[in-house]
Amino acid sequence: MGPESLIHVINLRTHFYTDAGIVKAVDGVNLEIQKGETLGVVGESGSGKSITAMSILRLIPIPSGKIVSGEVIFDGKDLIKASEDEMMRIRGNEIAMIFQDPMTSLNPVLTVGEQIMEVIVLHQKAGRSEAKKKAIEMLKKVGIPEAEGRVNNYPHQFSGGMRQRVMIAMALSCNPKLLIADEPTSALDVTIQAQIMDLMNNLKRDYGTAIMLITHDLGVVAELCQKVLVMYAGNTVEYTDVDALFSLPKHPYTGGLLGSLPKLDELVKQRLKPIEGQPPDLRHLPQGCNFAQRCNRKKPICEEQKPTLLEVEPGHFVSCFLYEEGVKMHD
Amino acid sequence: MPINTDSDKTFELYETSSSFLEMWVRLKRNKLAILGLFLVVSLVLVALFAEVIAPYDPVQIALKNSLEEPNSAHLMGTDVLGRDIFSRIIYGARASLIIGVVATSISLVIGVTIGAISGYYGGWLDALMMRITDIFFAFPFFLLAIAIMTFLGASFINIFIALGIVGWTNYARLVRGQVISVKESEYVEAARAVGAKDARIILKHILPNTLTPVIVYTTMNIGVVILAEAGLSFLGIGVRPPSPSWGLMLAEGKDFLFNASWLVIWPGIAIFLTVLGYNLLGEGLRDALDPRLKP
Amino acid sequence: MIEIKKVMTETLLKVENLKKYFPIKKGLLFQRHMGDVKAVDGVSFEIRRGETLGMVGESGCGKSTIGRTILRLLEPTKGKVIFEGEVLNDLSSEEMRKMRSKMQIIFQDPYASLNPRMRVGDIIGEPIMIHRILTCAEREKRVRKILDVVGLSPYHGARFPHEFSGGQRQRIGIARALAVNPKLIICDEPVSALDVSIQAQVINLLEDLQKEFDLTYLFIAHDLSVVKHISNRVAVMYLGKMIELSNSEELYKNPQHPYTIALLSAVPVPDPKVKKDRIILKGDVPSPVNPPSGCRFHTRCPKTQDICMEQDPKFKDIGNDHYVACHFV
Repeated sequence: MGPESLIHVINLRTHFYTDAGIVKAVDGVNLEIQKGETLGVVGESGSGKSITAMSILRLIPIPSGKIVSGEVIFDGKDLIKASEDEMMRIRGNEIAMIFQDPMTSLNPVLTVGEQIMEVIVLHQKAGRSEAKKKAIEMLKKVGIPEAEGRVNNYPHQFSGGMRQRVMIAMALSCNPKLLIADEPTSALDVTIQAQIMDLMNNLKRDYGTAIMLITHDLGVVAELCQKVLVMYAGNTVEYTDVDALFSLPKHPYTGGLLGSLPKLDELVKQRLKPIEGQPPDLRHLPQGCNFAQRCNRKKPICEEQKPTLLEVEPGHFVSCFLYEEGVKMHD
Repeated sequence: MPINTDSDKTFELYETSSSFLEMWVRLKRNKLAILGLFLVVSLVLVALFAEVIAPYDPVQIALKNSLEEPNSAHLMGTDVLGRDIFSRIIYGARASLIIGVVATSISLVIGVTIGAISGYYGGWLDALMMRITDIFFAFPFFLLAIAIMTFLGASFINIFIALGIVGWTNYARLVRGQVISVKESEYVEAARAVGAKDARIILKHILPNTLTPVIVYTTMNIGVVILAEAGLSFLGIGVRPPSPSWGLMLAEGKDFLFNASWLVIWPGIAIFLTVLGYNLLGEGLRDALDPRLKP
Repeated sequence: MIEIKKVMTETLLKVENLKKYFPIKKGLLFQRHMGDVKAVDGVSFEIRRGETLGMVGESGCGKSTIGRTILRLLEPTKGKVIFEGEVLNDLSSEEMRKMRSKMQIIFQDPYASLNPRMRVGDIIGEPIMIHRILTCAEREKRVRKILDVVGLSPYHGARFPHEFSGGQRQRIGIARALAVNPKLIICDEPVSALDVSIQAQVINLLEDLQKEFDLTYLFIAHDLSVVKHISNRVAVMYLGKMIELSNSEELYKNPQHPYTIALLSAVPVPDPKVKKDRIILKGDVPSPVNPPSGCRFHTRCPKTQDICMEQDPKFKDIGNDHYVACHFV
């Protein structure tokens, strides 16, 4: 845990209790974000990446869900043990979140100005006119033209890309230390996605906010992130800086993921190398490694025991028996 | 392009049990629904096994036993003609059940057909059918039933017709709304793409997916029809004497409300429990079959 | 494994000046025709037998509408669709219904495109039954074979769609499209709703099936990397018009239309070492209700000049089977 560490998630476990069994959505996740750093959290459906974010903000619905164990150390405090009042002070203020679909995450009956002002009034104890000025300023910062007029518009009067900008404005209005962005560009067209990514890069520079960027798109990760965390079936499987991840991925899942992407710049067409099989049922996780069933490099031990997250090179963490010492891995 | 989030997909990925079993599990948890189910099943059993359960012939007159209080020989007492009330209640269950089921079936067939065609084709056909439906809706349900029965004359079969005709409008509206929403589904478009004709699309693809509210409504409608029959019979334009009918028993007993109250209490309780049972079951089914909880 | 793309020449489907407008009506009693959403506004192209023609574009470009209009799931407002020499627009609805055994569609949403109350075997067997191609016993055999071909097991036929994952459901959708042995399959965003690792499985499956059954695909998607990978030729759509069409390598190496260039530069590359010279387009995609005059792209084009506002550029052949609609090419 470095001196610049802003948030440190240790062994987080969040389970859901359904008729059909206990869904172990997050089952032992570790991550760390430094101040001002952008961490990409990559995973597919069922990996638990969104639930991790919701757990950090304590937005998990209770009683169907429960943060079973773990710590989330934010600025010296363990958020899991914090009171609801403390959490309300943190949400929107020190940790902000933006969601995937701006159509449904903005309130359709309030103007965008009111929605941004709500955050400011709540956390900065500002008066309404002061909050409105700040709201207009934020809209300008995120690139909304004619902000003075548009502050009184309703969400449906904006396009998808504009709405996402409004969400970003809302999130940054109180200058949070950490911004959690859950698939912020997945619902947008590619040219609009480029605009938003450009915007986020600029804002990062201006505000110095740390960003936890949750996405399934490895291209977006390569563009925006410094560090990457790969999740699979509720666990962290690999964590390292972005260059190392793409050039020398260690975990077979990461390698498989990269291999299954069609490359826009491939000169000669190569057949894709998909990962065979499907993600496991989170209610009936296997005894050993969650990925073993689909892994093309599995060993007997992989099906018996669960691997632990180890630092196999400075700054490069993997959870895989291929890299655990003391286990003979020779073919 | 919106993508399902983790949580959506996670729970949808792994449903394996049959949908009927899931519904049953959910239903079981609702105590009131189970009570309703119990009452309905009891009614059905009583109606089916009337001959076995009833101690006396319900239409057997025995004037010497007239107006006996409930005693060991006659558990619920006797009416003014000496007929055993307990037996009449039991046979009355059969009458109520048959009327409830048949009249509801008539309403269902008419209403679903009109609603489905109306909802699927839209346009002037829809507008025409909905205006006809509106006309029917304008009449108070019960008054219309009375009018029809007066016109046709009181008899078992006429009750089916009257209550059947009066009740189809709700089905039509219900099914039409469902059809309009289901017909926009991608799997309906897929059926068209595969070359299915309209009839097949409606019968095989659309209607089976509109079942849920129809089932719920049917359950509650049976209760309503039974109550309506009781009302008609009470007014003398329902089931003709001497057939046992709870409504008729109420009519016959109303003159003895104060000195032989058991003549009206028992049929009243019977009607109350039956309608309660159907309503509770219907509401329980609605929750158990909630499409939001089903994949 | 390196694959050599065949050169295909025979025309299977031809589209001539296809238009699809959705009327906007306002008013309570007597609805007035206020305008149209010009989803597809004059598109002409052909699909060659055995090829995969990719179609890309962003929201509002009309690519999904074209797919459905070709199949007459939506009726064309104007223009002609000619399949194997027959003009589809002239066919009666019964004749068109029979045509459907030759042209099928795979949908985007694996959760919505399968009837939740039908068993998988019935879903796949339905087209066979409708077109009365085989006897009951033969049909069962074929359903089992197709299940196997798409990577599922024969006992899956007795299950319901909700018992399967998204990727498996998409395979069922593919199986349904294959059941009647069509010549042409319209793939409407078939992998967009799937996880990345499953996408690759389905893409490979589609390629294998194309080889085995001699299929022709119209592959509609918004993901340029996927489209380039699977297609022989790629068409780029913008606001109801086709603005570029060429074979996939050519499009990537030598894009001509400013929109295509911007689109290619906008795709994030999964490689942090690649520093892109990204062209950020200004503004949003205009609404197809009131498309800009002249060249539709002129409001966002970095090269726009007066002529662009006045004249709609023609879709011209610039050699090498490469077509562009731009005044400056």
